[in-house]
Amino acid sequence: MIEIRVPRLNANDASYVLVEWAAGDGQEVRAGDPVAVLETSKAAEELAAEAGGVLRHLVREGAECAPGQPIARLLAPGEQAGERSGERSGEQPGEQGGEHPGERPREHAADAAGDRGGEPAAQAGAAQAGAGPDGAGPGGAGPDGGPVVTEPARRLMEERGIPPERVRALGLRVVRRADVEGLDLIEVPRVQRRIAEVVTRSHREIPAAYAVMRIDVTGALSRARELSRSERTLIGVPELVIDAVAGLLGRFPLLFAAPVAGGRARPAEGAHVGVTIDVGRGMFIPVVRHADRLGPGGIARELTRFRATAMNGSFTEADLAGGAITLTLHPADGVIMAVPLVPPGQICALALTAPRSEVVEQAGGGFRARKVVSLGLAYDHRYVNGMQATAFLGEIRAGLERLSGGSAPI
Amino acid sequence: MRAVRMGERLNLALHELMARDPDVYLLGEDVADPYGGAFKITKGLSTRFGDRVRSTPLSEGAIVGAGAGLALAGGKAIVEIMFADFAALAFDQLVNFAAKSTAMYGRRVPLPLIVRCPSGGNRGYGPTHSQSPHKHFIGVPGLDVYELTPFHDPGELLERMLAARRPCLLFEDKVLYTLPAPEGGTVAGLFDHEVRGDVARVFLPGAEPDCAIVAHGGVAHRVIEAMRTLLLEEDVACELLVPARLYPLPELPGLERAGHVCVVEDGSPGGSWGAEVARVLHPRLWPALRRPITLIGAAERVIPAAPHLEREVLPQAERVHREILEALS
Repeated sequence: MIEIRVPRLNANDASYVLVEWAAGDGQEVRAGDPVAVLETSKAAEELAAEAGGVLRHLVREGAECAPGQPIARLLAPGEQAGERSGERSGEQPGEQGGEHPGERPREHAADAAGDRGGEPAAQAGAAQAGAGPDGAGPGGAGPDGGPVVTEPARRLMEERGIPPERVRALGLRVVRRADVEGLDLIEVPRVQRRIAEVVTRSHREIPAAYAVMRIDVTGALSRARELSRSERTLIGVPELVIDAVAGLLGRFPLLFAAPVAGGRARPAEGAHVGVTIDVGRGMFIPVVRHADRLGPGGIARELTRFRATAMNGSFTEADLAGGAITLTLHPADGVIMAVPLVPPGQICALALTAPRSEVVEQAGGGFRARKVVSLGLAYDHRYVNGMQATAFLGEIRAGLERLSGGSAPI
Repeated sequence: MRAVRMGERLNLALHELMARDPDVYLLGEDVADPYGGAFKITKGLSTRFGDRVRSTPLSEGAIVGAGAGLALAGGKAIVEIMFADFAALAFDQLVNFAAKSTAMYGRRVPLPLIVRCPSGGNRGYGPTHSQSPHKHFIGVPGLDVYELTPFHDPGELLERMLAARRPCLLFEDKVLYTLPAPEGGTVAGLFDHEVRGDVARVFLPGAEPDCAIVAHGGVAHRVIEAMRTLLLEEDVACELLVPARLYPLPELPGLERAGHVCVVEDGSPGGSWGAEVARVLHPRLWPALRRPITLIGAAERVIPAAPHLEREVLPQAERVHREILEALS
């Protein structure tokens, strides 16, 4: 028999959800066959059988499982499955007492109290009532067959006017205040709870400062239109920004590095740029790996793939891991500035708005319209100061403002 | 069917053990029929097993010494001390003879000896018949300390102690004798229970405990009553761990999950079993603990005979409830 255990899929989650059994209970599988789909807080991973055998599920679909936990067994043909992991092992102390017929002394230890001239204290009686066996099963422990409701829970029900049926419908043996509270709460999706952890940690641990620069993208936009035609993929300012940022790894290694205890930082192994993607199913930060080697067309194709994944499927942990710097996109019309949180493990995060028009005075008199974006940089002030931050932004700006339609390929 | 009381189960376990193993002898004051021991735990044994059950003179030193001798000579001895308080009279035999004999003759010498000690108060028996003197026998190399609990099968416990082949003290709470054993289902209508290895666990399924309580078998019922009122009145979820072996302390599972840990015992403060539990747990739980482990035990007073005064000295459910609530606030 082989136990199938949950592998550790990422560094962050304490548990994953088994969203689907790819092979049924009792089904025969071959080595390499997918058996289950596990969902981390952000990604879905398929789990394959290490060897062939008859699959025995140990947990049901939808169950939370921790890394290392056995979730199934692979049995050789004819082998018996052991107990299901959800069942309790160990003795049931109550069961043995009733199994011995025959000799059982009748009048008993209670007389000892009489022999010694005392009565069992009232305490004993009270404890007996409290701890005695109770025939009621789960969900039917209360006096009326309904659940037991704690006093704080009952007060909350009264305060909020929650009828008993709603509480009964929870199917719990004991209803606590938190259960009643949960009836009226908006459940935050799992993806968002994970984001909450990360941003809370960022806010707690990273003393970030912020600078924002206005960049003229008039030329960059016409260059992007040209590239879109030649690369046969949609290229916009974000692709050009990622390209420009990735090209600066060699000159600004600290801004791509990972903080290490003791005021040191580990250099990035490549220009891996995380980009926020949110198509309404939660925010993800997939990573464009080695963005400095892809060019705007290659970057655009990666982003297209990420958007399709966000729309239709699930990211894998490999898509999401290894970012050295993050670009957050704020494409909504009217946004003029955004302050990103620096993801723990990184030193910088950029925020890019959509292009907007503005009118500027020309040197020779008169006015002209141009397109600008705001590019913000939040940076861990323990590692980076304003001068490096603005120098970095300035390089990106210079790179983008150099672009124009008909310019040399970048 | 009438629920089986713990005292009856222990009696039955002794019957079964002596029937199964002809090497087992039982000694103690007034243990023979018709009296059958002060708490009737040995009832029927002398009638059934004759000379293997002996009522002895009133000398605890002599009884324990004879029991240890029987064990050294190849038998297995169970000795009843009528009240645990009297174990003080056998202190030298236990600590300097029985405990040492396993290791001081140049080779390991088996000494299967169980010294049964009815302990605890709440019955109005006064200062010298109500104590829980566990602490005096804790930390003696070669001597293991056990206690009967509502959850562990007494027969299995006796087997285990004899199989250890070294002297063991077994404390047995007098009030626990009179209580029915839990028979599957729920405890107090609210909690599940299970026994894993040495440790019984009483818990609210699906809840992360606000407080984990470690207690010996004799106080378990009072702690469960406190757990019941804490849950129903205050919405505080507690989990109880009851080890059968009190020393050396077995691994107590799952305490890292609890916000707070509390030890409840009937013994008096100062070098107590509870202090020993805290000593073992503090280094292990240091990163998880939010506050020091709370110790709840008897007041530092001689136990009064008057029941209403005795109640104040020994920890009751209401006090456990109050102290846990205070610790958590």
